[in-house]
Amino acid sequence: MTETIAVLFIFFILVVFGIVFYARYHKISSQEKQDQDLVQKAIDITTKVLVLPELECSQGQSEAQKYCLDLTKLRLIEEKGLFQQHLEEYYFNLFSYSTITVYQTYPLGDPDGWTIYNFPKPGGKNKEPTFFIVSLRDDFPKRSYNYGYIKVEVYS
Amino acid sequence: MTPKSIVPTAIIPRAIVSKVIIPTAIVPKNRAPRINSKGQIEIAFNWIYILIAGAVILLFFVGIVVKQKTVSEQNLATEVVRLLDSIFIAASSADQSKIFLDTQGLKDYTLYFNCEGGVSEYGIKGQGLPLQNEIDPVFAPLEFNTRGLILWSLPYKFPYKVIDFLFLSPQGMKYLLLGSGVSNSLDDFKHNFISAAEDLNPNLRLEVVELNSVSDLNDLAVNSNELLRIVDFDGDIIIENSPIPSQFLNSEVSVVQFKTDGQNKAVYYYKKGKNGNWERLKNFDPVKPVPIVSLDEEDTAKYAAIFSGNDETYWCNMQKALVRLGLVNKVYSLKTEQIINYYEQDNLLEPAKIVNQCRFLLNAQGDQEVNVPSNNINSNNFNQNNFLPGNLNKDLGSIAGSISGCTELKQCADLIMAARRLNSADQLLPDYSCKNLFSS
Repeated sequence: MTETIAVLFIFFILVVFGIVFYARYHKISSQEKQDQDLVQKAIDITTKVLVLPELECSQGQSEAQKYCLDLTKLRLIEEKGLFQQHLEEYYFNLFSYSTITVYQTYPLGDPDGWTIYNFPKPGGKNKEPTFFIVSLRDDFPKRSYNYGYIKVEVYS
Repeated sequence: MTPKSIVPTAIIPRAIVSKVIIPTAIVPKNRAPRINSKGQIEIAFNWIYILIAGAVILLFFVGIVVKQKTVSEQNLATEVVRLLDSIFIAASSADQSKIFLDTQGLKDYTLYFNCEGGVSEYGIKGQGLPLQNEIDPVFAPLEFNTRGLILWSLPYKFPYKVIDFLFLSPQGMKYLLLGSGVSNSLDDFKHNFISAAEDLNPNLRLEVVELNSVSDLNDLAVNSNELLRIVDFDGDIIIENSPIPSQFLNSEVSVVQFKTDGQNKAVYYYKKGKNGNWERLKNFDPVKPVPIVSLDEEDTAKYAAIFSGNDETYWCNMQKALVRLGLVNKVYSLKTEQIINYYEQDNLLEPAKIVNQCRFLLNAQGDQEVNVPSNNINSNNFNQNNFLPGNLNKDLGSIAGSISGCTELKQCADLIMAARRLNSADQLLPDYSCKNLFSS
């Protein structure tokens, strides 16, 4: 009887050890997966922003200028809060929990930049910022090109 | 000293009992065989007990492995669909591009694409979680198995860019182009489609077969289970309830048919009926055809019709584009006001003559007869181009007002007219040194 109990005891110790080991492995791998997903999401959202018709530098029937944002549209979208107005019915599905800000670096612009979308995840713990360099086309008073970058912060 | 034999067996563990050697000298002769028999039964019982316990433990672990395998397969399928979604995002972001996606590993699985109520759903049939998307229009056959996928992205412009359309074509799918397209004013569209389908890379080349009449279609050799899409450019070659040529009965064939009636453009879809006849799909509406919301110069919405699984998925994805049209239109309305305000300012850098000209062009009331204030402006030019000064805002307003009603051909025709007027107006503004909205 004692031998049986001892064997069973060791067996269950091994099982518990296995379960604990697997649980820890699973926890670490799902954390890694979540981090990877967050990075992927940040890249996806940045890609979407770069070709957003609401912001891009259109050229009529020709292809829009690559990695260029129209400053007039940008200012208007921020000023009128267009993305925030239509957040629930549309833009949340596009940008999810994120903050999108455009900064002008040359000539030096407002240090706060233009925040066109801001919807952090309530109680979110992780934040993944992604940056992308863009040109900024200003049509007023005469057409000129400035430089800056987009910062997309994604929350999880 | 207590002899071993008189130790009460009740306090000896059962496993030890069988191993105890009892001296036969102190045990009555007639009892010895009974003890041996009991021991043998106990040994046999222990083995059965061990076997059962072992089998239960083994079954437990086999169960875990089987469960884990199923979960892993489901997770893998979900992961593959998520990966596909990321590839679709990248593909649709690359303007006017074709990408080949090797799906050799998925050849035994059926991919499906559906769209209902403005929400697309796609995934691997019977495996994992599907992905839902309310934003991006993806036009694809309803179900297919394939070793490779062609992802083709084209911008939808109305007249400014609204959204990127993504077309999916399984490798090996054949497009049978039927009719000349002349009677339906789709001749150019047909030829544009043929040249766009061509590609130097054979993986990116769509298989296109040109057929001029029904007899060409009847004579065509078709492999069984081949994925085929017949495109009727003339609008009257495929007739509802007419018999399907027999060689098509074992293939996966469907028809898209373009019809034009003046300003109204529509598309019909047919599938193989149960009785071997062409059956028109009426998921969008039992009577009304599906409108095509496209400017003549930009045929993206017509291309989309060719790649769509059926009438419902086509219109569902077009609805996404129309919702976005409303939002992009708002941005351009704000930009128009900005341009108007700019010319209303004093002490501008531009010469006074140009400023006055632009003020007039952007701010005049569009419906009124206008007196052209400058010799630079040729009033014939306005009429030729369907342009009335000051109409930019009005046309943007007309577009905004017509979007929700565009479920019927008439209302969609109004929307198309407003977009055409806006396009003409915007293209003319730079001719008069004025800032325009989206053309340059």
